Amino acid sequence: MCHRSVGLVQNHVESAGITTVCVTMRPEITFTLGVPRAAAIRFPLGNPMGEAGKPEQQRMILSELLRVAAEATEPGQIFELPYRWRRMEG
Amino acid sequence: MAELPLLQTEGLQQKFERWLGVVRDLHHGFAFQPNGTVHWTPLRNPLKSCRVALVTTAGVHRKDQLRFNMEDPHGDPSFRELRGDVRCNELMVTHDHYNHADADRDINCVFPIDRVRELAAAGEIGEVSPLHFGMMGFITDPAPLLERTAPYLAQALVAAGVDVAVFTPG
Repeated sequence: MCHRSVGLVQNHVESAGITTVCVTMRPEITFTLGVPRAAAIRFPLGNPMGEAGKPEQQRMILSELLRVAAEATEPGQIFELPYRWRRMEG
Repeated sequence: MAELPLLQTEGLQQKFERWLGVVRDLHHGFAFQPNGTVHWTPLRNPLKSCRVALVTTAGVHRKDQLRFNMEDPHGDPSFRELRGDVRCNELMVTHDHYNHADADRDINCVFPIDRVRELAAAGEIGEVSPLHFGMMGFITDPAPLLERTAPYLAQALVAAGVDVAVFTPG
């Protein structure tokens, strides 16, 4: 439900003249809702920006989100971030 | 950096319907209204001169602010203002609907304020917004969110001179 709430507020903020982007772990909700720009990441709920104590990973994800903010070309686009959740494997 | 691919949307609608069914079993009368018009404000300036704000629905707030109300079955559409110079050890999470163990250890997992500061220091963005927002995204009735919270946030972020707002769910 967090994703629904994020997308509703995001669209409103975009309408006020601010460029917005969201990260989504539940792209089916983001897609159906429709938001200005989004980036999907295959991480669990609670970790949209990555793992605890992994600043480089978090920074890279933030950079990618900002790139989507700058480079998306039309409303509703969802890009796929190339990360996979590895912690359980290691 | 390589081009980011667009997400393949095949099967998302069916997945959404399954999610909606589960939510409606738990919260009778839950209404899902898509954004009718998806708005569009292209970035006017290069990122390196942009002021960047964070908005999260992961239940982030300062420890000395009122906690989000987890008792109301309709959720809590309120928000908490967070200053740009807030320290991570001043923040906490109130949200019962996702596992925030990692965010409890490192709030940047959901509210990457330190990372925004680092990108500003590195010159990748212009500056950190003086204002950010924490919300708690478990909100079954979207009306107060749309009628009060969203307009306030939008106006406040515009007044704070924000160019880009990054949204993170819990």
